[in-house]
Amino acid sequence: MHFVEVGCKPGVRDVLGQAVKARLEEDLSAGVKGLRRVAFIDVYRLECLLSPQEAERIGAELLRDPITQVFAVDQPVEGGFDWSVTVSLHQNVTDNVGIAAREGIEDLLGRKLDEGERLHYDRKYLFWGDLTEAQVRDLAGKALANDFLEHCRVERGSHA
Amino acid sequence: MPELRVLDRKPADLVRLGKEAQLHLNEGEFAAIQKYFERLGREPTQLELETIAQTWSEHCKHKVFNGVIEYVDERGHKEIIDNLFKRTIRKATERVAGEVGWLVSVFKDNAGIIAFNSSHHACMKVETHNHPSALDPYGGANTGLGGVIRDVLGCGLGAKPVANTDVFCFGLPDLAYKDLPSGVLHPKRIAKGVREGVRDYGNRIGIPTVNGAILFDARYTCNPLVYCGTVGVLPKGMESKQARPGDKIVAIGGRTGRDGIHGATFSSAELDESVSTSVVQIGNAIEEKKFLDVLLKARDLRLYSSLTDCGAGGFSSAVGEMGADCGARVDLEKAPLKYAGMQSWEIWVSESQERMVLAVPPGNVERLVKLFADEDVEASVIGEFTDDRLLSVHHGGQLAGQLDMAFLHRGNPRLEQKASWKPKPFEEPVFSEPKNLGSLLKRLLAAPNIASKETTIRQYDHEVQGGSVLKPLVGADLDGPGDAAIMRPFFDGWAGLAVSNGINPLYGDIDPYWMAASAIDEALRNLVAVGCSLERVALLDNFCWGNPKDEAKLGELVRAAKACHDVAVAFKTPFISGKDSFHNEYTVGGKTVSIPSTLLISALGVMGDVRQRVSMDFKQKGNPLYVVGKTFQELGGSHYYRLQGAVGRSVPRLVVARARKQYAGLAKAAAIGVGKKNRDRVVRAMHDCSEGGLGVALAEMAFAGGLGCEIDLRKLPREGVERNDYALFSESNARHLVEVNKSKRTAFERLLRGTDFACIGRVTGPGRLVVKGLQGETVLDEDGKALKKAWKGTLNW
Repeated sequence: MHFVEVGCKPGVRDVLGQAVKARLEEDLSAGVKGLRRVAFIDVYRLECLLSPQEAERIGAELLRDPITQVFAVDQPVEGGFDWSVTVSLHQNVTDNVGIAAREGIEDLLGRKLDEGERLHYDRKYLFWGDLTEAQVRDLAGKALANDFLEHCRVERGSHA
Repeated sequence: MPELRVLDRKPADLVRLGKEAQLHLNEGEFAAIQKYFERLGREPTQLELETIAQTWSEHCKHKVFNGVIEYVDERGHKEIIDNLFKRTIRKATERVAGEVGWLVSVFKDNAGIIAFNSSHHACMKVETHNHPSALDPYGGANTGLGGVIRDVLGCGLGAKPVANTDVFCFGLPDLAYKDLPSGVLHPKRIAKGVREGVRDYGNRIGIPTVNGAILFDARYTCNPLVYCGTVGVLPKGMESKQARPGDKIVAIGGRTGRDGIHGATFSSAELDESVSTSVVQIGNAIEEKKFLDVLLKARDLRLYSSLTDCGAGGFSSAVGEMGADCGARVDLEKAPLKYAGMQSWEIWVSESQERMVLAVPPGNVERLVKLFADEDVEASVIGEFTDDRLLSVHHGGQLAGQLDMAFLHRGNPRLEQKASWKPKPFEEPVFSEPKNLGSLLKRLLAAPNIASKETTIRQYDHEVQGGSVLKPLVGADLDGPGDAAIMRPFFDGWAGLAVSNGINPLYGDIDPYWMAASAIDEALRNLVAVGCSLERVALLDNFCWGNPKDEAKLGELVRAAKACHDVAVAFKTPFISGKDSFHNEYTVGGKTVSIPSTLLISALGVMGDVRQRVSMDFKQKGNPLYVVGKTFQELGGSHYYRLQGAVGRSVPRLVVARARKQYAGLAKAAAIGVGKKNRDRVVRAMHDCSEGGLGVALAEMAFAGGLGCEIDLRKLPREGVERNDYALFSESNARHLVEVNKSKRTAFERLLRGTDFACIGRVTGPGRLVVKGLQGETVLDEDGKALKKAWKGTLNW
């Protein structure tokens, strides 16, 4: 069991993160004044029998774009934030990114994964700013996750 | 879910239990089911009940349109309408079919088919995906588009999709969160999610999104409407198909999972706070693209004898329909699944996306499966078509369900409903003519329904496949609102297809008859505006309505359908396909909100030569500006009245004979000089007057061309219009604004002889829009750039 996080390389504009920040500020008038920065992170949870070297290789050669992105295996790719929101699909909701990542891993490693080996894709949003937990939960519910398909986990970062 | 026992139970109790089980069958239907199984002397299996519920759902059976309606009109006159669809929409097509001679297949296939060029037919289908988009805007729109693309793929023996259209109706984007009903997503979130869903599916699958519309009204807050359309081309000779006994049933594409269970039956229900998550499907454009390409290869090799989309109702619907005339036997354990542990009925009715079903002669199966496997697409034999007229579904060596095809497809009782229509008690508003028409024009341009949709359109690829001749955004800075899109699907000839839409639910608030007439006229005059003649134009209807059990709502449907008949016959533009979506209402806290009765008309026109295309932006200073068509004092349901806080009652009407003559003249004028330099053509720019009337049309033409204009309202062909604001903002139908080559005025006027037209002014250099009023004084003098800024500011998110 490993997880790979992929984020924007320092110095490269995090377009997705900025778009989310703009959306939160423009669409949700109340309670987001204290937001300073949002970063967007792809999270791949690999519930597979992989060696640490294989997980590292998957991050480096498959999941990140070497020009614009950085990755980390089994640890956060970026720290120092105030809050994080991780959005995961409910069980049995088709996870297209997870399915594509699985095919990619099989191609990369040259072997089929076992039926029981699972792969999940989550979206993670990192927030910097003066926000309370209630505010973060409100934002997540209104703009980041759809209860019908997804659930989210709100966590405090090292700053908050 | 527990099995539902139906024998020895009161139908009324079964309705309630059925609703809990998401079957949504009515009393009469349960009574028919009881009778059928009493005769067999056994209880139905869950799979059988699910199959019946899906087959008899509103989505699949169109029960409202096909039922019996007792209709009382505004004079108290009673009429029994036995099958509204056959008496209106279909009748219109039958009445003009003989005369037009280019209809190939109407109302029977997944899409309507018309003759196009020497080698191909054209087809089109427009679907709605409203309920799913309310719950998951991204996924709902995604799969709405994916589904309609598969409809075209499943048309005839498989048409190649060449263009998509999309029309959305949302709640007001600036709604305060405190006013948002519980369990409902914010309209702006829905709007953005739907837009992204269409973008990601259309762009990734490589089909251009070329035309559309977005409307906003508070009543769409809980029930957004998402219409997705696809145009395709089909080789001649491939328009008919038939599954034969002995043919293998082959499922292709994605695997089956638990996503999208009960989507079809869900269409028969009203939304409330307690819907299940399983009704939403998740789309995957890449999966569909993979089988799209290989399917067309298999088609050209003639490897299968029939196919259909696996959409609402899943295998149950696809296999049940294909085998309706012969019979089918399915072994569910052969269907590839996303995961283990699914029950028989779940596999059978799952609406997992990106799947189709083929009927393959046994001798071709091996070749077909290999062809698909080579392209990394799964193709699995899950059964075969039989000649026993039974639908038999097996799972794990056991019979999970068996139904007579005849009972399944014809055993449902007809719906009997009551409908009535009375004119609404709206009055014309009384207010004096405002002084500052310029600021009113700006407010109209900034109204969400009129404002620029550029931020949405720019997210869509309208260039892929390389065939879009006239694009959704036109003009000097490529940001003017094009009236219709024109595609040229084959590069070895000039023949093309023009696509447009007409929709205006505000008129329906006053009178659905004139709403429908106006929507048809709008779609047609949009085609005329881009230079397409109406000689070969087909229409598609899409009714999105509230609860049909409401007599008044159903009365509105009857009235709109009657107008569809009358106007389509008079224009000689037959309907070729359509769709209806009812129960677009939402109950929260005991209060029910219904959408405005909304009819979308899509028009598909065949152009012999796409070089006839005309765009709407002003081209050259000094050219005369004509208005073709008379302006009446028709502001009921207009955006101008809306600004004044009123609905009014003077809804725009239509005299088709007059409109037809104008349109024929305009199409001829647009065709003169084709193939020569554009500046030598007679018609240089054309735009229709619709929402916001003449004033908005003038402003759009001016700022799209980066030019100005001077007009004189005294010259405007009009009747009963004595105020400048009414002259500028009346929304009378059948009007075009035309920039004519100044050296070709005579030719233009000759072609329009006998119609109401006049030269009302001229195009001026960059700068201002100047209007002289009915008394000869200047009533409006605005900077074009400022008007454009107002128009672009509202929806720039």
